[in-house]
Amino acid sequence: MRHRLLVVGLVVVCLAASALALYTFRLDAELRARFDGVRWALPAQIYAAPLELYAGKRLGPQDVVHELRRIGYRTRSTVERPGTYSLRGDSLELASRGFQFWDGVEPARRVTIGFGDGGIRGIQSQDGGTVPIMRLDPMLIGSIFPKHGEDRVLVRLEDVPPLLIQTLIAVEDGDFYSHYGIDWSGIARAAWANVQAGGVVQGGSTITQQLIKNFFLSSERTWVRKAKEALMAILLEIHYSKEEILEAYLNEVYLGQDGPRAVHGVGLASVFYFGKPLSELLPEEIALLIGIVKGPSYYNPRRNPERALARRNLVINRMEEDQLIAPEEARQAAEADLGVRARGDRGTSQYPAYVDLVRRQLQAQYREEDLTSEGLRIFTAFDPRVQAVAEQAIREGLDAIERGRDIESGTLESAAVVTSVETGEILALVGGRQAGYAGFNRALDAKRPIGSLAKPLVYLAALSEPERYRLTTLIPDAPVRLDMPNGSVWMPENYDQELHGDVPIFEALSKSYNLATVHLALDVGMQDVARQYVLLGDDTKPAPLPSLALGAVERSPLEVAQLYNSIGAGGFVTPLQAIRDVQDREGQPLERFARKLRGGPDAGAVSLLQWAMNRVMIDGTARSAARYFRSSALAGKTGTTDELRDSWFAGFGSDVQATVWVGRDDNKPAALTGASGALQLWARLMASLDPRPVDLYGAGGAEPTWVVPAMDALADTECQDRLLVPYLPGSAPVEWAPCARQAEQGNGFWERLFGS
Amino acid sequence: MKHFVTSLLLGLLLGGCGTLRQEGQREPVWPYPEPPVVGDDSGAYGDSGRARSSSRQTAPVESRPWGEAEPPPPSEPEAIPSFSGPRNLRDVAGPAAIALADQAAAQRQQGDLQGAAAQLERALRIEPRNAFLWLLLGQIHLEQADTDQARQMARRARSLASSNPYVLGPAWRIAEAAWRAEGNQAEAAEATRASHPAGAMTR
Repeated sequence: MRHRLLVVGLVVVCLAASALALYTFRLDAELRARFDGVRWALPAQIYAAPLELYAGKRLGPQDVVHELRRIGYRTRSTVERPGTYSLRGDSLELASRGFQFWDGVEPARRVTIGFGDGGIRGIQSQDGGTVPIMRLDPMLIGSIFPKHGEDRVLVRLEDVPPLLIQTLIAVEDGDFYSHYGIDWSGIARAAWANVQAGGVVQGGSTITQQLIKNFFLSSERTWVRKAKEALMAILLEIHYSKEEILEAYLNEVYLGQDGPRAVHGVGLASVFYFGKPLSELLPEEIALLIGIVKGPSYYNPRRNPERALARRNLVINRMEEDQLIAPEEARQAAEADLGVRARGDRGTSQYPAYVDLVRRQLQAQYREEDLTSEGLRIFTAFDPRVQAVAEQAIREGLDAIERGRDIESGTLESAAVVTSVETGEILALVGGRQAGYAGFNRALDAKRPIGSLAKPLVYLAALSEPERYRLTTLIPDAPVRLDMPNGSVWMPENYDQELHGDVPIFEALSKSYNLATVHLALDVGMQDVARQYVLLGDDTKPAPLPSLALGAVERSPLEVAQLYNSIGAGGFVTPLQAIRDVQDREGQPLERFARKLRGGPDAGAVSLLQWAMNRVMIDGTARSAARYFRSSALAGKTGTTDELRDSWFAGFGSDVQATVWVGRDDNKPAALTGASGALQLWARLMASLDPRPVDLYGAGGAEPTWVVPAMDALADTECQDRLLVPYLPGSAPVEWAPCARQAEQGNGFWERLFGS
Repeated sequence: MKHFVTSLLLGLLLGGCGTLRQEGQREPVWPYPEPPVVGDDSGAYGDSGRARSSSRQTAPVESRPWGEAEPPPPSEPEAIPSFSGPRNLRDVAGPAAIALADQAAAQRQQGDLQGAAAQLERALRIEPRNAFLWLLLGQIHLEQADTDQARQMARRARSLASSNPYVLGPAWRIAEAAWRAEGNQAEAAEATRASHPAGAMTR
């Protein structure tokens, strides 16, 4: 009998054991699946262009240090560890981090960079050899996360400050390194508290359990859930090392809410709360982060600063007790402010406008879920230095305009696009006055009439027919009266409401005469004018209506930048691009966006147009900007729309193009012309970039010739009003102006051949 | 108390039945992607050991951009003895662009045409008006069978050539090869004519 009881008992125990084993097995599978699943929830990461360093690069030591600090390099007296530097006079000692680029590995190096007057003089490696070129690791500028999702800045355990890890363990799980997923003493303590309270009030959770909770479970406090959590914690400890669990925890822990975006992980939280990488956190900041773990909403330092401060100082005390920091350090830390930056200024996506552009360009090739979860690494042409200059120019420029013109403060808005002329790469993008805020991206979405920015395309159409037009062809600036198909009458006027008689083509452009431009456009043919948009890389051909000549066509700043970049590139059209290449999560190359060239307008005609657009800067509508620049050989065009609603300026040197728009979001008149508004911002921006001059006479086979422009005739030294104007071969004037000595000797073909 | 019992039971199960833990079947490391940073603290400084010639200054002057696999050479230097301008990349490029072009050459030799193109684009960001770099990139496009872009790059090189026959000749030969690859014999023949040094200078 007793024997049978024993057998039955054994069977029951074994059945129960098997059932539990089966359940455990299922949990185990679920656990591993979840851990593998985590792989698939990584937002695409977007990187800026790396800084290339080489002899001859126009950067001073302070510029380079500024870039180094941007990507978290720190100054040290001994430069050994990657990510450190030391500047002594004109010599910069640098230990660079290595990086896996699309086209190969950039090794970590220890170098000394010497600077001279013109920039970098040379780079010596530690062994004394010359380094012809090296690039720094690129700055992470943002990530693409789902609309209602989680975002992360992944950290590796070795990149986490030891103090942060020590503090986390001291505060959350003192026995982390010795327990097997659950902490018996902690449980006993918690259980006692629970028994006393008659319910579950205390967790006693280990870091492992907290990770499980973050991964799988609701925060509902039941015995079943606790048991399941404990079982999974043990399973997790079996499969993964302490370091792996800790790293996962650091990347997973929930630390706050940023609108729809859940802030997970210490890497992101560091940027979210303090605006800097984890490696640069001070003890009090580490204490605050660890303090928040207990209740990100309750201890929200922005909403409940007192609670957060008390909690932080509690953690600081703990740090001192455990001798993680010296008493003196603890005292200083406890006295410091919370140090949390204002919400919104510079989110983790520090450059929301550019990241938005990248996301849109990628959406053409990738599915949304791939972008938000595949952990793609996107490398762009984004230039943080140019972006900073552009943001500053817009901020300060708008303030100055509002002050100087008695415009209500804060009513003006702006957008800017800066491109590299030769490569067609988008270097910087400003979507609005407060560039750090994600929101209406005016650079992409504010489609406004372009006004006189359309004029260069009229003149390009004309100059593309050198047998009919040259830069000094005289055209009538006379009244226009057109009967429109809808029965209305179109009677445009000049901005100054004057008539200027017969004017040379280039002057009609540089002074932005409306009437002369309409006459020319009608003479050339509106179809030809509309065709220039397509030739210069615009996706949509505008309707060939006469009003197109004066810019009754709506384009975004980015679309204008495409047109003007193509003009700046001498008619070699490169579709503007932000993305260089894409790697998968492991750093393997996926896709490269090779530079593309397209056939554009005739290079000779474009070089003449550039010359005319340079006259805009010299004695045309943009001459007020001349004082900003060393070189006078820049080219551009002002744009103003009806009732001064939109103020535009677009222009370029031979290396960089910028388009700037200024106006109001409500589309009310901004009371600014292109020259009094956008040009002022453009000039500040471009002056900081120190653009290279445009080649005014040598390009496209044009021949510079002395002429009297008002007469469209040849000049010599006798002529007062002479000007050196480029002409395509065979298209220069042949008559001499009356002021010229040769004029007296006749103007006939025979005389010219004969010479004087 | 239940906590304790459950945990004890589990402990026994895991220890006693031994069905779960299997040695040698440990999961791989936490599967975050490896960050791109290489080299760490391990003292991996210095050159990557990549194929790069250190004897750059004394490198032999070549009259052709690449040493091989190029369209047939024309009757070169001796045909235009009076020409004193740059005859190849090394005559005009700075050390950074040359280093990148060397790297491109190495990658091309390994069959990595994409990588070679990427290096040349890097070089072009530094020297955008170096016609020889455009020629090299055009040659890569030709080898990638992207005939349209090969022709465009050659056209860009021509626009920067200012009548340098050492640019114009190869540029027309790239165009010729591109047309021929597309089966357009008429255009190819036109380019052949243009590639003749005398023609190139007047074109």
